[in-house]
This record gives sequence, structure tokens and C-alpha cells, in this order.
Amino acid sequence: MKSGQKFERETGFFHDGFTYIGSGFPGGKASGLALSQDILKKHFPEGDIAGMRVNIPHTTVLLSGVFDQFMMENELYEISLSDASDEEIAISFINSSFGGLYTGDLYSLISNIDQPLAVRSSSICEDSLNEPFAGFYETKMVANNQVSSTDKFNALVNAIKYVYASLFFKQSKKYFQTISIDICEEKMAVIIQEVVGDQHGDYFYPYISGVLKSYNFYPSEQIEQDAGFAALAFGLGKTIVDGSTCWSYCPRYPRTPQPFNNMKDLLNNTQKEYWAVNLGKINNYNPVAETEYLAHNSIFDIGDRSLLKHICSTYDHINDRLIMGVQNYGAPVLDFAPTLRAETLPLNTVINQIIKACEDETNSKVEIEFAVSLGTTKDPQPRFGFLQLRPINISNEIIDLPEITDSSDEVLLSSKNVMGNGISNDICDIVYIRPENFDTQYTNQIAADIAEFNAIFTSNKRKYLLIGFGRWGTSDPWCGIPVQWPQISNAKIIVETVLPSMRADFSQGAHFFHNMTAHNVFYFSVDREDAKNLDWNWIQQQKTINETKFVKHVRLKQNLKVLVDGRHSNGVIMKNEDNKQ
Amino acid sequence: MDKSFNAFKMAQDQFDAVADKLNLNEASRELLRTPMREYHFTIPVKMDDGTSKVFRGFRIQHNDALGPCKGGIRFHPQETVDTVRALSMWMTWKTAVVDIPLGGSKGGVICDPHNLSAREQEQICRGWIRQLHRNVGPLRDIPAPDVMTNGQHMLWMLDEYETITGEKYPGMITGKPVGMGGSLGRTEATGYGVIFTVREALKEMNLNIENTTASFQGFGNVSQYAIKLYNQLGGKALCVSCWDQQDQTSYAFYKKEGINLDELLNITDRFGGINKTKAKELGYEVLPGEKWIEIDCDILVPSAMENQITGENVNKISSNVKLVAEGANGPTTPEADEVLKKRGIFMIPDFLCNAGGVTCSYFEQVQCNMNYFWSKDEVLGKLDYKMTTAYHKVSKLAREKKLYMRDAAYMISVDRVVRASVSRGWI
Repeated sequence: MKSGQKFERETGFFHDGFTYIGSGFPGGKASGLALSQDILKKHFPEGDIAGMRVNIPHTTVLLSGVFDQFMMENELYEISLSDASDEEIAISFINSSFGGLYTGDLYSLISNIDQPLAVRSSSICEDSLNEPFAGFYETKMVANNQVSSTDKFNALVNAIKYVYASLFFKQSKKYFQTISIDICEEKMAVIIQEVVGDQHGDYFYPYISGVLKSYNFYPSEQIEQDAGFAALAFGLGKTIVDGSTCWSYCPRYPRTPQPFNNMKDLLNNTQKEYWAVNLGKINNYNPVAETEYLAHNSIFDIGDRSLLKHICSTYDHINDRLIMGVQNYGAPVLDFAPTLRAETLPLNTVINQIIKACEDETNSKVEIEFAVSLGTTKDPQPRFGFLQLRPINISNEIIDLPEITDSSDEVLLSSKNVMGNGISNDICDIVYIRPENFDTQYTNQIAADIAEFNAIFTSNKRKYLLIGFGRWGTSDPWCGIPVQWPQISNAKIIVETVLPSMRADFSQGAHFFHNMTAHNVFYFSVDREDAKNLDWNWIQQQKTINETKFVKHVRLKQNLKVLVDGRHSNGVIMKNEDNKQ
Repeated sequence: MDKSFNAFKMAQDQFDAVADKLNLNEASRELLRTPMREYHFTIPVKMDDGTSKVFRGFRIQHNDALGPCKGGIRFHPQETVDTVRALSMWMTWKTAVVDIPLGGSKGGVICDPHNLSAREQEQICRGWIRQLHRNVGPLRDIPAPDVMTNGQHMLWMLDEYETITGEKYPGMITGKPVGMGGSLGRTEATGYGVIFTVREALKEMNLNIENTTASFQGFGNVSQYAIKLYNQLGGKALCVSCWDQQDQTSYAFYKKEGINLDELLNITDRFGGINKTKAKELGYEVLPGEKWIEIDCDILVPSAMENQITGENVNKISSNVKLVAEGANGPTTPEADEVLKKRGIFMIPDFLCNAGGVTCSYFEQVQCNMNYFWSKDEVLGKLDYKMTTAYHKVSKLAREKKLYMRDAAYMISVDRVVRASVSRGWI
């Protein structure tokens, strides 16, 4: 493996750089980390940027041969490929054994560590540009604070087996079916990685987690697409990856105010809960749950508010204004102002330098995941932990849109907030959420309905236009439709629109968008103004093929014409004259 | 087997040499060169044909300074008390070298299970316990399976013990079937343990295991799992020998491209005998059993019986052999040892190399005493950790003091037992 050395029990886990166990491939994520390490060594040999320590967390990779051995030794393919539930598959994996080859190394590895670990998938297909698998497989954090090595060892191997099992969970199987790849060709390596963070009472978490994109799919009018985009959250990065409320900004213009309509809007849309590794009592022992060792806490329950001094402002309700930093009165609002505006932490400087280095080395736009810890009294230097590096696929085809007016009859919809680039002439199916029956309390049911429709499209090898309300791919069912990528995998064009009752806040969920980008899906975000021009009447007049209470599938006589100009993020979906009834 | 060979004398000679190196006093030598307790008894059994037959049984408890005695029970027609004495002494060194809190013992019955029905074997097991129940048990001496005994025999013995005592003592005996107080990983433990030490030795010798070849003597449980793990690590097993019950001799099965463990297991009987005809059909050369030692390879793994590498055959070992890993107890005579030493062949001595079995038995006893059972990964992970740690302790001493590995292992073991005996005020 590039940059890695074989794991040796004498040197153990806390080795400078990567170590690996077994043989085979490191997988996409581990390769990305290895590349990141090389970039850091080349560009920042001192391991320091603006006073912040920058490095890759201690990591040991179980190469793909370990997975092969595990599958063969325990004859797991039969149940893995069956119709068994995800839980049954996970339990079968957990009840299986690594045999004699690797358990000694794992026991030795865990015996000398007493800090939380992240066990992450790094599959051969995952993170590749051609077939994206980002976010499909599970990641599991283990607290690793048990007194006995035995308990720590069991938690670790169960977590590894759980991540292995997730390859064969339903959504993954569906996806492989969609892309017509035999799931048995997939190989899974696993990353065992130190969680970057600090302990606060019974919880361990990073001070700031973040996802950076050096290309912004939703730039505002004043900001260029290549100025990039960053999402920040307090606590573990699960908040961002799941698409929950976090703080987003442009690294090139960190002081630019975010587009909130008013103070209430801002208060309602800043982070109020965070994820942490639970070092305390585990109430629900469940080796087949991703969140077994995690806690989801409210920021209002943090006893020592001074902890938030780099990331919060305080709401002065008397004057209806925000005061930067922690005050003795008023509610904390996580707007990261001290760090981004007053630069109490040099985070944005680090981010910009790292983006530049990564773009230079990969010769492409990049997506980066990171975590920041503040350090301890003994070692107070803040640390930027580099967790992942992925190139972003951006099409270069130049598309010119026709001159259109909003009132133009041939336009189904247009948007100035479109992701993707190119032309599509092959879609005649539209699946849409019925506006007359839409209610945010039914979004889980809507997601399930859409998955059923998508399965039919998958088996018929047809693509479709999908129109819905709120965020696609959110984990919060009150904000939009909580679908996983495989549930809408055959959608060629996705439209995210709003109803008058909803706030237009579009998703930047890392994995969901990475999948769409790599599949060249056109993603139309239709804000409140544009939504007025979406021709619902015309859609509802088309021939119904299938429907549920919440979702309808209609088929057109002629294909739609879809044009997306990626340079300007503009797009238009044109009706075809022959589709008129 | 060479009739003049006396395993106990060999064990004593080995001990005496170490005692000299450690400069032990006379009391220590007296205590440790002979067993602390011996039980010799008869076991009358009503045979299936209505006749009565009396079998001779033994239990030799060599030393229990470090903890309760631990050792197997052998059913063998050529069993001798001196063999059992030697084996009990080796058990003391074995438990000590892997640093588990147990002493050493061994037992046996002179019988041939091939010629006994299951009922007759059960009667021998129960008779053995009836004679010894006061002297064995979880806090005194914990038996385990050995040559021609298995989990079923252990369960009969446990049942008899619990019937006599009126209590449940699953930790009284080890090697029980999984689900009946047995430990996961026990079946693999000895063979895997052999290869854990081979793996570490090769690392120290700067040899890539994937470029090595090996020849195994014996195709019982130890060899089967040793070959499995050795193959998984990338090594190539070229030859395996086994005992043919029908012909009452042994054969070696050789394949230049490497033997296929699964295909051989498919043509192997329950005693580890490989079907010659089918093996030939599968492309194996079938050679006389003693040829296993002459194979041109890197590693020899004697995993059958004691006294197999002797002064007579040691010079037949290929000049390419770099390592001998003793999967069996006492397979190398002192005379042969000297030759191996001179030739610079690295030795992993028996009581270190095959200590995986007793280590896992210890784990089984711990689990039984807790009445809480571990996962297979946990057992194998701890086993690897324990074996690897023990190997490096011995290897480090050998390097530092420029000792032969067997001598280094003996010195660690004997020193531990002597210290425990001194601490107890025995000597």
C-alpha cells in the first residue's frame, strides 16, 4: 500500500503514518488518505499551518484480503446474497470468526489503545469516480474505553464485521443491481482510525467537523463556483454527512453573511444538536447499530459554555441581535463567527492552504473531510485532522441555453441553481410528489413509495425525472425526503422545490451529492420564485402510469429536453410540443 | 518406535543440562527431575462379549508449584509409565513457558481404542475417574484429551466426576465439545499455535513466509490446522505423513506443487489416515512414512509422536531446511538436537511450539469457572497474543545469552517453577 508499512505489534497503532494488516487492496478511502498524507508531507513538512497541527489521524488499514479470507473461511456469501434482512446478515457476520490469521494482530492493536476509534469502510469501488459508493457502507465508532482488553477487542472486531456486513445490506444490493455490477466483485478494506477530538466528561468529540468542496454547486450571485464551499459542525461529522443542520460558508469569503431572511430564520437554522462518542454507560448494547457507541446531545446541555468560545455567538433577545462569542446571558448560536470572522482559530487559513495543495496535486476540484480538536491543557495546540480526500467530477462540455422567459409555454421549469452539465433528450417519465397530499409528517412513507417506483424503473432499465419538496437525501424527515441514494438511483433529473410553507435550504449532504455528481445527474434546485413557474397543471394532465396517495408516475408522449449550463449553474427543462394534450 | 528409547530419561537429561546452566541447588534438582505424585491403578471393565478385562491406568503429577496440574490422557497400547512421566514433566515446562498459572501432569491407559466399542471406552473413562476423583479436579489437576482420546471421552469423565461429587464442575476437565463447556478455537489451538511461532521465527530470520515450503509429520488435528494456517499465510506445504491403521505403518504424501489440504481431508479417516489409492489418483506421490524428513524444503514440522528425529535420521534432513517446529512432544532426541544445533537449523522446541493447546485449555477452564464463554475471535486473538509473547521472550533470551532455543525455553520455564517452589517455601 502506498505510504503504508506493515503493522508490527512492537510499534503498534501509534505509528507515524499508515500501517496495514493482511494483503490485497487498501480501497478508495484509504488510498485517498494515503494520498493526503503524501500531500501534507510535501506541502507542509513541518506538520503545521498557522499554528495549527495538521496531520492524518493514526490509522491501520485491514486490506481487502482480510475481507476475502473472512468471507471464505465463514462461507458467508450464501446468507449475504440471500433475501435475509440487514440485521440477520449483520448478526451472521458478527457470529463469524477471523480465524487464526488476524485476530492476534487485532488483539495486540487494541490492547494498547484507550481512545475512541472509527471503523470505516474503504471498498475497492467506494469513492472511485466511475462508480460512486460514498456513504453506502456503514462507519462505526467504538468508545474503546472499557477496562478490559477483551471488551475493547470484541467491540472492535464486531465493528469491523458490521462494516463488512453493510456491503450486503439492502440498499447496497439494490445499488449494485442498478449499476449492473456483480456485488461479489466488490472487495472491502477497513480503516481503523483514531477519532480526532477531546474528552468532555462522558463524551468525546471533535471541536469542529467539516466538509470542504473546492467547487460550489450552489453559488450565490456574488460568489464564484470555484470559490468553494465548506460545511462546519460542532461534534462528529455525522451531523454534516447525514445532511442535518450545520453552518455553511465560502472559504474564499468567510466573512460574507449567510443568506438568512431574518434573525428568526437564522436561529431556526443553526445547529442545536451534536454527535459525540459516548464514553459513559451504553444503554442500548446493539452491535448491529451504527450508533451503538454514539450520543446525540443538545448544545444547550453543555455545562461549560466557554467551550463554545470559538464557534458561537450569543443571541441578545432584548435587542434581537447576535453578539460574537459566549456571553453570560442569551442562547448560544453556532455561527462559527469567532473562528471565521475574528480568526480566534486559524481554521480558514488552514482550509484554504489545504484546498490549494490538494487541487494542485490532484489536478481537479476536491472534496475534503476533516476534524479539529482544541488540544488539552498539556498539549494546547489545536489540531486539524485530515480525514478524507476525494476528487470531484465536473463536466467540461459547454452548453448554451436558449433564450427563454419565465412565462414561456414550452418551459416546464427553469432554475439558476442547477448542478451538472450537459443535455438530456431521453426522459419521458416523471415521478413527482403530489403537492395536494404532501405533508412533512409523511416524508418517510413518501421515501418508501419512491423507492418502490424506482425499483420498477430499475428492472425496466428506464430513467426518469423526479420532482419533490424539500431536501432530497436528508436524514431529517421534517426537512425533506429522507431517501438513500439507491432509492432514487434511476432518476436522471432531480428537482428539489418548495411549497410556500417550506424554507428553501438546499442540501449539501456530502455523500448524497457525491453520488449524484458522479452519475451525472442533473439536479435542479427551484427556489420559491422559480417554483411559481413550475407548471404543475401540465404535469398533472399527463397519462398516469402508477400512483400512490403521495406519489404519481406519469408518462409523456415525447421525451423532455433538458439543458444544463454548468458554467453558470443554469438549467431548463423544456416540454415537447407533442406532449400537449 | 525404538524400544530402547526412554522418554523420561531424555526429559531428565534435558532438565539436568538446564539445571547446570541455571546452577540449581540439589533440592531444586531433586524436586524437579522426578514427579511429585504418581498414581498407578487398574480399571476393570465388563466387555461387550461378556468377558472382563483389566486395564492399567496412570496419572503422573509432575509439579504444581505454579497452579493446578494440567495434562492430557492418552489411550495407547504401547503406553509406558516412563513416557507418561516425561510428558508430565514437559507439561510443567510448557505451562511455565507460556506463563499460565498451571502445573504439569499427564495420564494414560494402556489400551487400543481401535479395538474397543464406544461403551467399553466409556467404561474405561468412568473407571479412570472412579480411581482418581480425589486427586483430580478444577483446583487440583485438570485432564484433557491427548493421543486417541477426544471430547466425548472428556464428557464421560466429567459426568462420572460430577456424579461422584454431586456438584457441577465444568472446569474439572478441558477439551469438552463446544456447547458442553468446551471452548471455541480449541480444535485449532495447537496447530495454529505452532504456526504463530513459525511465523514469528521466520520474521526474525528475515524469511518471507510466502516463499517458504514445509514438510509435516502426522496428519492429526495439530498438522491439519497447522497446514491450514501455514497455507493461509502463504506458505506451501509439500508433504505430510500419516499412520495407516490398516497397514500398521506410515506413509508420506508428497506433491511438488504443494498439497491441497481440503482434498486430502476429504480422503482421510477419523484417525488421520489418508487413503493411498485416492491420493495417487489426485497426483500425490505416496512414499514410505519416514521420507517426510528428507523432503527438500525450508521447514520441518514433526507433529506426530516423540522420538522421530533421531541420531539415525537427522543427517537425512535436507541442507535447505532452516527451521524445525516441534508440533509433537519430544520428537527430537538430544543426539539429533546436537546435530541440528551444529548445522544452525533454528529450533522451536516442543513445549513452546505446541503450547497453543494447553493455553487454550487454560482459556477453557477460565471460561468454565466463570461460566461465561468467549467468542472464537477472542480465544484466537488471545492465543496468538500469548504464544507470540512467549515466543519472543524465549527468542530474546536465546539471542542475548547466545543459547539454543530449547535451552532458552527450558531456562525460562525451570526458572519460573523454581522461583514458585522457593516462594512457597518448598525448597
